[in-house]
Amino acid sequence: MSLYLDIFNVLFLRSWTKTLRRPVQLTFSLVQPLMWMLFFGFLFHRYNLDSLPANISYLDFLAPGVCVMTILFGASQSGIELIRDMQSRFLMRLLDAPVHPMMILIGKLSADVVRLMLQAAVVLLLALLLGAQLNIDSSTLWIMLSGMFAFAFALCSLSCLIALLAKSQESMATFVHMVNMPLFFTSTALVPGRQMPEWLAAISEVNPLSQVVNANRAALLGFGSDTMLYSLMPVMVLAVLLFASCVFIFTRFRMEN
Amino acid sequence: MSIPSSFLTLAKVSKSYPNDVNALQGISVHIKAPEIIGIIGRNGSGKSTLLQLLAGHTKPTEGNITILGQPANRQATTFKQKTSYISQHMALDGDMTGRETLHLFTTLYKLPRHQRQTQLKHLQQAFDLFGFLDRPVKTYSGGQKQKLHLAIGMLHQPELMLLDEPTSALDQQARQQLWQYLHEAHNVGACVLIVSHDLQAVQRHCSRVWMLDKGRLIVDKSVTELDQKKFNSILHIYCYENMESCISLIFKLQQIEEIANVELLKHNVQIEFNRPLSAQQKNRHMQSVIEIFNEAKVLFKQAQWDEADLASMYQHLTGSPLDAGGNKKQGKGRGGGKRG
Repeated sequence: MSLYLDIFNVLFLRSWTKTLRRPVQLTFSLVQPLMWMLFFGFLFHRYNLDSLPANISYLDFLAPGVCVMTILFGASQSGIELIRDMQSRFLMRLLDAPVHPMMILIGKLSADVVRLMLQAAVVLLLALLLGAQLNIDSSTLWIMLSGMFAFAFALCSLSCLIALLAKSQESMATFVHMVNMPLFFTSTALVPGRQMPEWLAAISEVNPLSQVVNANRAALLGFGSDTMLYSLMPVMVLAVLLFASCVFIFTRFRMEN
Repeated sequence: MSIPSSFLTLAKVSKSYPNDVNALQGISVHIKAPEIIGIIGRNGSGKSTLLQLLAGHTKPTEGNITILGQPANRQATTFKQKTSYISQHMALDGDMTGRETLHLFTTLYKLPRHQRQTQLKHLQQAFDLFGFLDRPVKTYSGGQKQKLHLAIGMLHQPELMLLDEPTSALDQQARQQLWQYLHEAHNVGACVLIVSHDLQAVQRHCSRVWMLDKGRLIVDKSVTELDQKKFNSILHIYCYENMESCISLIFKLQQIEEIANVELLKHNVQIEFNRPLSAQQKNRHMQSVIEIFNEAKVLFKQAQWDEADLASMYQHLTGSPLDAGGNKKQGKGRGGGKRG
């Protein structure tokens, strides 16, 4: 058991060491959410959120959404790192070691998920600094964290899956834009579902991003409940499915290379 | 390290690629005892393909490969733990330091905790990794990268080592250290297969030589057997001027005892002796030849003995030279007078 922990540790620490050695990249990953909150927060601060209590400002409403958006856009980095390893052939060297590919993937994905969770936490702090009034509901905070964890895990798995299939940063960037932008704009990150056109509201209900954003919003604005966990089940199932697919493709990749 | 009953067996192994490219054809060999095997051949003769097949990176089109008593299966854990394939491509992560990289792989290769530090120190010593191991790999020179690349491949103490041109970026001292390490590994029971263009090193350090030509194994002999099969010594004199018309030179050179044949080429005079010469005899004959050139006042740039036996044998067997560096030994420097 301690051997597996050692293996997990070295792989986890490798990802983290690489992240910390690229501080510019890490800093810029926080600039985008900050800009969203600054521009959208102040541009729409008079926007009437008629489905929510009157004391909730647009910035309060936006902050939990941008928090999840940070995960959505930051997850693509996971696949890009994998492509870098492929191009330097270091990945093949890792796969030549007598360790199951799933272990390598778990070590890497765990580091990426922790990075994304911390980035989301920093975004939340920035929102507070910008004046967002958050009323954190401690009883449902763990549900929110579970949802974000599952969402981050699902997206990092998807990112690695795309990287393994695309094998080049250019193809991957195209695919990421094709997935991320529609996912973001058809979610409740910027606008409540009730104020969307009907067709868009229908899409937003099945959008996993909406489910995580809604749970976040409920926990951070103080109207969360235990039933939130059930609404996050599809995201958790999605995370398991995407991780399993990624392991399958990763194992196949090892056999082919 | 317990010595296995058989290291590798190749039975009529062929490998072809689309467009009728036959990389390897009908290779059959069997290695029972630990040896250091040098694999030589021209570019494209199938050396790297052979190592890739043995490493399980590609599958043969025909025939069977058995490594350490098991079919070559790169996915099998025991295969990974007992073999090491060090390719020409240095697969390193530029963001990590050398120490972090080595630590990562000692863990991934499941070395017991107490052995990790000992093994790191041993490799540091063996490959002279001092002074740069704590810097990011992207700041390393080519030689430092190659040393780290080799150290990673050796850290799990494999029983079968497959090395593809491992000395290309190394200086003379580092090459010596690598050969010394390979000899130590061989002494404790490891089998080493090394592709190299450094024929002198192959001749000096390997116990067996495989020569490949157009995908075929044309020689599989021990170095002792090869030593007994030497070829006539040949001296090349490289001149500034066209020598094709200097017929008088032929008569003078043929007066030297033991010269079998003199050939006048455009800027080269090729003198073949009737037997392999010792170093002393070569010196004596070189002096005589230079005297004749000086008397004839013919300027020459360089005099070289074509003395690498492996290269001569390869040329003899295949009809074309083994185009490789390090297979010629320079005799005398510049010399000569004016042509009259």
